[in-house]
Amino acid sequence: MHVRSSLISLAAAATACASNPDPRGRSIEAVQRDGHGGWISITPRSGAPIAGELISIELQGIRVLAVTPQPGLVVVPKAAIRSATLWAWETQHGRLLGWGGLGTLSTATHGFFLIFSVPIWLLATTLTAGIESTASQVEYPADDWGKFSIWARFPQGLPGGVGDRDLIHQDRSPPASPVPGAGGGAGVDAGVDAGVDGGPSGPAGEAAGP
Amino acid sequence: MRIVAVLLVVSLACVSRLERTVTPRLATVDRAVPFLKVHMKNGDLFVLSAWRADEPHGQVTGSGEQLGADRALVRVGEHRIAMADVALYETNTIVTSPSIAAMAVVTGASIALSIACAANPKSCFGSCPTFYAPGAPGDHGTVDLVLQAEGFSDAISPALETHDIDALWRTHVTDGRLTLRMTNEAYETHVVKRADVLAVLRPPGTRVLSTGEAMWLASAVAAPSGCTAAEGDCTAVLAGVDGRERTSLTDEHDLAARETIDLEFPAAAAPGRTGIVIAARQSLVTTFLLYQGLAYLGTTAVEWLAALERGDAGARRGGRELQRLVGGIEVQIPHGAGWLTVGEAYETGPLATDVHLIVLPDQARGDRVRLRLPKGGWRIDHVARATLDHEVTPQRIAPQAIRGTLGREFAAERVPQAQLPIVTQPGDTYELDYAIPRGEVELFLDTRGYYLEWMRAEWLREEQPLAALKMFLDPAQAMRDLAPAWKRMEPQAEQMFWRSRYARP
Repeated sequence: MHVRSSLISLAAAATACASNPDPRGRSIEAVQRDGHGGWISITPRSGAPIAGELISIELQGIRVLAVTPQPGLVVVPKAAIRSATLWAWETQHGRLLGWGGLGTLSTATHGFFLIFSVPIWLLATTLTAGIESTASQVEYPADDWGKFSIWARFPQGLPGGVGDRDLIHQDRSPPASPVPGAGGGAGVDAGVDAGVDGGPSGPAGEAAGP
Repeated sequence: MRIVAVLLVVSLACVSRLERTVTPRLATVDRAVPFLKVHMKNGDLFVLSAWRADEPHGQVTGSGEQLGADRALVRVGEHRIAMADVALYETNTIVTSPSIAAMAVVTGASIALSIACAANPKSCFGSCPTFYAPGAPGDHGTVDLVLQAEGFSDAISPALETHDIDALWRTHVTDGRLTLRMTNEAYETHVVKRADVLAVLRPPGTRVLSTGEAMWLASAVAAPSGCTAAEGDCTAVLAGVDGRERTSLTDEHDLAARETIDLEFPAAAAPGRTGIVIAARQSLVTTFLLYQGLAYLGTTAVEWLAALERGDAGARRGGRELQRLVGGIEVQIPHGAGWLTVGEAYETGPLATDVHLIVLPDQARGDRVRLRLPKGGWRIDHVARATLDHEVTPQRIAPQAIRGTLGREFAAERVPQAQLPIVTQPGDTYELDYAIPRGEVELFLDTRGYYLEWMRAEWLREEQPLAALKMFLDPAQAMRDLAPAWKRMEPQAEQMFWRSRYARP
């Protein structure tokens, strides 16, 4: 089999993979640490599709910081949604395509047997990359809204007192008073922490993280 | 360069996924995760890289970032968070994608094949023109094409052009139409000058058998009632042409070492000449020797082949002596206190099982027969004793239509040929249509031609003209010298060749 046709097949496999429309291109490592919601695309029963960051899933609807069709915070009633897809992170299926490409090229060392090994490589690469490209997707109606909510900026729902503008640029209220018994170690400014309970700290009953 | 390639593969092999868990209870949080996200009721988020729970005081403490509702950074440092103000705890775990497992399996197999081909290029080959013919109908009436013949396997140069008759033993055609598929599945150039079908009408219950020179109508074809070889009883495995084969391993000191198989047949019911039917194909030893010889010759292989073309007796003699030492399957009958060889079955080629007839002497009944053959040299599918009625003359039938499909890799500036002679390159496939007599008919394939092996770059690394010379001048010693090398590759060669299933026996 020609190298060219093999590469064309791999290219076809690449195009067959699901494409993540999230313009932020959030890697797994980024998603692990940042606090933003995943990218959701909603197809309503009527009207233009809506796409943007998933803010929260609530009883009255899906709250999205939309980029399209109009920038702004929108709440889409669940009953008005025909389908929706959420991309939680940028998948790494491209690595599988690269892996498969190198593997396919390596069959040049297989002599006659490449007529078997090339199709096996192409098939394995196409299947695994195709599956991997959808690994970060959550889809409605196949999945329930609960599966969407964990990928929202606010999995607990939009907190009371947080206004639309706060989602883009929040005006922080002045720091509260320091917490009594907070320890006051180097760099500690417990008074800035939201909702700090000023109880004394101590080793008893503690469970350590890593 | 190789290090770069390895690093590239390793980096590509890191395909991960993210598993997220959200819970309102800190007690259920996986404490092994590197980051704990604490979602506050007021919309803030803490991302803590080192944290601990202070249950008695209802606090979570740790170091990391505090983000606002807009997810802008508020502060980095140590934090003490009241559990009562926490809405949810979130953990994220990076896990390896299960896709890796599938790709790893393919990669492992591919690397193994690469290593095997690099270490042993002589096992990565096809062999001679291969002919596929319809097999016996399956349970649902479907008929698969079965590899049934290898054409002129000995003819590795124009000077060695020869003809070859192969029985299409498994083909049963009664409607007068037969299509054979001829393929070139190796790095070889095949020149096929003739591909005729020989057809013989036969009464029901009989078979027609070929000695290579003559054809006999046979009745009362009987499987052995007893079979004893070094491994023990082999009666069942030789009962029919069914793909179950009796084979053995080569001798570790001498590829020409022999073994014997003792056979017993039920007493013949009918008078007349008797013959022994052997359905067998070679192991890969012969192919190994041919390719090893070409490897030793290396760049001088062309000179040796040219010597063959000029009719150089020395060049031809060496090859024939090697072939004699590899040997066929001798058929022996009791003679005094010992055994007497009365015939031999030989057909070069490890792919297709061919059916041979060895006619016993006039008075021999063939109740007890011994086969003598090189250890590890043959795979025997079936042995039978047949009562031979009379010689028959086959009807020769040339193909009435030929359709070719060229292998894509070597198709440039070539067009499929529609008549013989046909020159094929790797990947070429031809279908040959025949009009044969209707009714019960025994079919054989009579091919004529030669083929040219393509030298492989890997072989040139083994060029040792003196070893090649020794192989031709003292083949018996060469069979001993090469025995250890073959023993080392014997298990792998078999596995690679047959598990590929590009050709089925």
